[in-house]
Amino acid sequence: MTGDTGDDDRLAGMFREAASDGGAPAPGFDHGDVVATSRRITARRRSAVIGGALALFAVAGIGTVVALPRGDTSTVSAAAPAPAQRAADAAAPPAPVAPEAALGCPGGADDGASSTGGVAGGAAPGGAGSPGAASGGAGGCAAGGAGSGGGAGSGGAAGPPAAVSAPLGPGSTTCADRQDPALRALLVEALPESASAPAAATTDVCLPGSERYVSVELGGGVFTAAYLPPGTIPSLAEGASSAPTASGGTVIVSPPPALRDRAPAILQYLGPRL
Amino acid sequence: MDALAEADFERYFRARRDAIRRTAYLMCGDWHRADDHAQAAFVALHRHWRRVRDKGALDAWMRRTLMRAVVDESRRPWRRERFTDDVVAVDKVVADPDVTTRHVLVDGLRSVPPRQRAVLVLRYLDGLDVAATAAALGCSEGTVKSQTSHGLAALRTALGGSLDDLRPAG
Repeated sequence: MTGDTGDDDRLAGMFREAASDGGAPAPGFDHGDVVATSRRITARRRSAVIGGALALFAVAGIGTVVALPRGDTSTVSAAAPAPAQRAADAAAPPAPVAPEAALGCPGGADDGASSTGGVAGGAAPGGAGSPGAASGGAGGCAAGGAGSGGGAGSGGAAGPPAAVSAPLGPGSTTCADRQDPALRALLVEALPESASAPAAATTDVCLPGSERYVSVELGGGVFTAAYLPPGTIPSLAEGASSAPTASGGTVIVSPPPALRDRAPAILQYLGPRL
Repeated sequence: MDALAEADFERYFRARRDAIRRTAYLMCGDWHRADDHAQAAFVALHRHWRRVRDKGALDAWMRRTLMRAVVDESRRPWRRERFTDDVVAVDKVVADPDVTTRHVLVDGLRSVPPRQRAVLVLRYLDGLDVAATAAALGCSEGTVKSQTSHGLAALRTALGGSLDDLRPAG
């Protein structure tokens, strides 16, 4: 073990012996499996790109953002006037919000004050530079229900908890998204500093599409959150903790040591929303 | 991918599958997970096959992909487990020195951190020198040297005195 040639040769022999095929099971995949999986992933990515482009067009058509001039020189962004039907709906009790829509703009979806709630946190008067505005920038909407007015500076879990809409539940893709945007949005609400955290490297391993994952570089390590659908029985790795979710699944977080004490609060926040 | 490229890929797959599997096995310590990692690496390679210009660098690319898959999996906060009513047949323990070597070393490697383990496997199983290991893992030669040193120290700690009792077959 001193690194000289003799020891190197001995170690190499031991490694070769340990990896010998003597006790190895037969390979679990062949060329056909590889090609089929590759084509499936390629097709899924292609359809995701097409779907994303269509969604972009749809969003651009529905939610046009206009600049409203004021007496002073400042500019405020606001959502375009809603269709007539929506104005009528405003008088009625708010309907349940679709989970994905709620994640896109937490707390500000359909409360009759949408022209106010739709103001982006970063553009709201006095909002720039506040923690809430900074964390809201990454998700496209202010985190922690900033759009509902008073919470603009509070930022995510530090503020009053937003109303829990329908739980997010299992994903519906062929392979699980390893950087699930919906789960990421929830994580940003629970852990505001994750808004500016870069996504951690992941692989192309095709995990069941009903699962959701997000991994970010944070706190000197990798923070991973995962949602497993009902029926999946996890065995937790060291440092990970889990909680049941509203949809009957399991949410697991694996924080780096520096953030380990935040895990219970994050699980408590994510559980009812997943 | 055209038929010629598909045939090229299939040739490479058939030639390298077992070696890649073995490398994956020592990196993760489990044949089934090694299959998953190796398959994922081959799938990634198939998806990028058209863009591969230097076929001589394929092995290095595969090793790097494999290492990333193993490290990524080690970060995943859970492992899949299923209950079963079937009784798992356990083979009778055979006091074969080769089997002992295999099990002791693989068990010891499990306690070595993933990146250090990958460096040890590339250097001692695949026979790469420091420069080639650095190229395969996309890091500096100094990093490879320090990871090798730390990895060997961790392996020695894990194996204790049993390391000196191990002898390669032949």
